[in-house]
Amino acid sequence: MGTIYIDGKASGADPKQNLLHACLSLGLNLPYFCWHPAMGSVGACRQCAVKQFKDAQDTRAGS
Amino acid sequence: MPTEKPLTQNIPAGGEALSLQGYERLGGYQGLRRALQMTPKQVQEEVKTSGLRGRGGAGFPTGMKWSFTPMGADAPRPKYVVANADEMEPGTFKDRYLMEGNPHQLIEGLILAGFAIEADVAFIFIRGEYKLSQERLARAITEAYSVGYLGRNILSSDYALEMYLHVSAGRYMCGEETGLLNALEGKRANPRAKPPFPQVSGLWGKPTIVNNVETLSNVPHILEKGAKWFQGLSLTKDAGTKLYGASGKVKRPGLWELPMGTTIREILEEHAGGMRDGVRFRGVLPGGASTDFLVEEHLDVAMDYTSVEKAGSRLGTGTMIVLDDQTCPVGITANLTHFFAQESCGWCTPCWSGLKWATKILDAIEDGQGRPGDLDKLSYLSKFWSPGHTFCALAPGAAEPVQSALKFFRDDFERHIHEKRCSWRS
Repeated sequence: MGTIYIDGKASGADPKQNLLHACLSLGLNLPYFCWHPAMGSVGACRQCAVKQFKDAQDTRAGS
Repeated sequence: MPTEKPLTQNIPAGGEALSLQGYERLGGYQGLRRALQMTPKQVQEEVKTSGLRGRGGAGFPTGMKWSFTPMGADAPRPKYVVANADEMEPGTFKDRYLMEGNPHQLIEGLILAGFAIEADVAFIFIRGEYKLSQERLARAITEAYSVGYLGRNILSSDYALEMYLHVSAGRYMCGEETGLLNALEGKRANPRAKPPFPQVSGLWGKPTIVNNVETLSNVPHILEKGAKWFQGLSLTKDAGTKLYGASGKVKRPGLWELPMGTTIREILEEHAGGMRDGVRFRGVLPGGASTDFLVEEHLDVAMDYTSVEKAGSRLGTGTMIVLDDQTCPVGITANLTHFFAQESCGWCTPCWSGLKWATKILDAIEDGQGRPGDLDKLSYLSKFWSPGHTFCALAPGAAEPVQSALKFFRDDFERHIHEKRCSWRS
């Protein structure tokens, strides 16, 4: 079990899930369009795209 | 010494295709005979050393692409080689000339690529509209089977290859490597996520190499005459010759095989005969619609991968579209963006939605209904077409004419908005 922090609140999440799946499973209302649990992560609509940082020190917007 | 033109010098002048006998008499299938005495890895090495880079637009080193294929007894089977003959880049007509004029050259190149990666099956994926190329290739494939260049025990060796001609159902997307593979599998031509790359998991999940027609047509000559000879054909570091074309208001639009690295000026002034009387040069898309405009200050840029990139554009297909001063740069940009918006496969939102949005803005500007802020909106939209925001290169390609037109012809865009009309229209 991993831990994710959303708006300062810690929640447990399965590291094997993708981030969108994990957040939705926690009951959070995130916008998404092309993702469906039966189809997996398509990644085409870009609605749930996130910025990825290298670590806590990384202040540049990662790609 | 007259310049060598290995790709085109044997194409008959009268518009006929070079026959099998004619091709063989001029050295055809000698490269294959030589390769069959080598190991597949040695053939890969020869092509790698030659410096041949993909002629379809992206310019990836061909030998290196081949070297990513799993080899040997444990490799997944069957393996595939595919000739990408879905030539649909606006302004581009070079592969068609090669297929209509010398179909056996492409077939030999495809057999050699197949041998180099130990492929079992080869496809030529050809654009639906290329009827004459289809007829000539179909006949040439049959001839190649009948004399033992295809099928089992090619030229009495252990190597076997089956070859099929597949006629595309259409659309620009089918020329994108992974879109092509989906189309060949009978699916809608959407791009696939990479990795895995086709070299490892391509057609029906098996290792697959996809190469452009001009790229493959070079391979027989490299195997026949050697990598050193091929390097020597070029004026610059990027090896070989290149089919260059020019369309637009030049005196003699056409297609010429010249040493790689010939300058834009030489191609446009000497080969295309300069601009027509009464019109002036304003800019050029150096390698088809999906490349950035270059302008007068770039005329002495050498047309090779490295130099054109350094100038801020791409060599692309090497077939230039020339913009003159009697043609509206906003109009040409709107026209090109319409093409890309229409050809978007609908998969990634920045592409299907963003390109359509951009056409509306560009049409409005051209119709005299542009508003202040429209140009910022276009720049903002084009940011989302940059590589990494979409699965394939269609949107990044569409961004190139737009972003460069905004850079070089910004005054014209602003005048359209300010004067609420296009001054090229009466």
